[in-house]
Amino acid sequence: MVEWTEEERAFIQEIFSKLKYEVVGPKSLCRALIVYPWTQRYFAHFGNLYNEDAIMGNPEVARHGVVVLHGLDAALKNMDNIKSNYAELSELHSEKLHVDPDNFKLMADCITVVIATQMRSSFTPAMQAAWYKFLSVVVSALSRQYH
Amino acid sequence: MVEWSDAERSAISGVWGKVNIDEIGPQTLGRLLIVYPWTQRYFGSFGDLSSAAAILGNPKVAAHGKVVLGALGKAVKDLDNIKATYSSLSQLHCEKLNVDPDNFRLLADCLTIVVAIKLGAAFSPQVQGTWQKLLAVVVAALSSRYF
Repeated sequence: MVEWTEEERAFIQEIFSKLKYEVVGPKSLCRALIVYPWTQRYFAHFGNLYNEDAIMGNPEVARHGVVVLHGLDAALKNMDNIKSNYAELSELHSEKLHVDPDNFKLMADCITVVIATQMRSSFTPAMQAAWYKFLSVVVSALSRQYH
Repeated sequence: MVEWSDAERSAISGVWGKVNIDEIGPQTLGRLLIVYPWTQRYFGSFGDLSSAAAILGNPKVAAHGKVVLGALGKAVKDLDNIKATYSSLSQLHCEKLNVDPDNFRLLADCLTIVVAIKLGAAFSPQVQGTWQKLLAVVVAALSSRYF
């Protein structure tokens, strides 16, 4: 089971308390689609993803970015048992959506970069370490139902 | 050979122009040692790495961070010859320093975060995409003499 120090819990709480879902969610998904363009294959039904401006202006991308970011709420609410909260989402991504689990890490990286651009120097190294650990556990939980 | 568009060349020099090696180098290496603590094994001779504060205040970490980031400048100055530029550094890291090449990617990720913090919204998705392409080419060049 994953152990969290008091300091790590405080860092995670602080990040979420400053997190604007409707800003960070869309920016994170846009980054994934632009920086790792193969991920667009999962969103063919979103209409125009033809270039960076189209992606950044696409309302379905923005809406879905918020949905994806709220997916982290389950982990925040239950940090001592993150694994148990993602069984359904993991199955969905594996069996219905057929998402390569490598992409979870890419999405996590994009969320982290957006948070860094928003929080700037208050995203300290120690806070980054706690956040990286948090996202790694979520990514692992999302990958569990794949085999 | 890696192709660079004019827009990409311009984005890279735009980012590099804002990078102060004396500031960004130490922050990047500091984050690596804090966020991915196993990397401390390569720096046993640096003294106190026992906490985030110790790492961030350690003068040897700061000095070496500047060395590492200075070496990245070689890629920026000669984008069309990155592989040749890093040939001897690659051999050094493999044969003398015995560094697992996975760690180059981790350092690149830390640098991306530090740059994102520094540039904020100016680190747009397009700029991030180009910057990550540069770092991926450098990481590949550093890994090229391993086998």
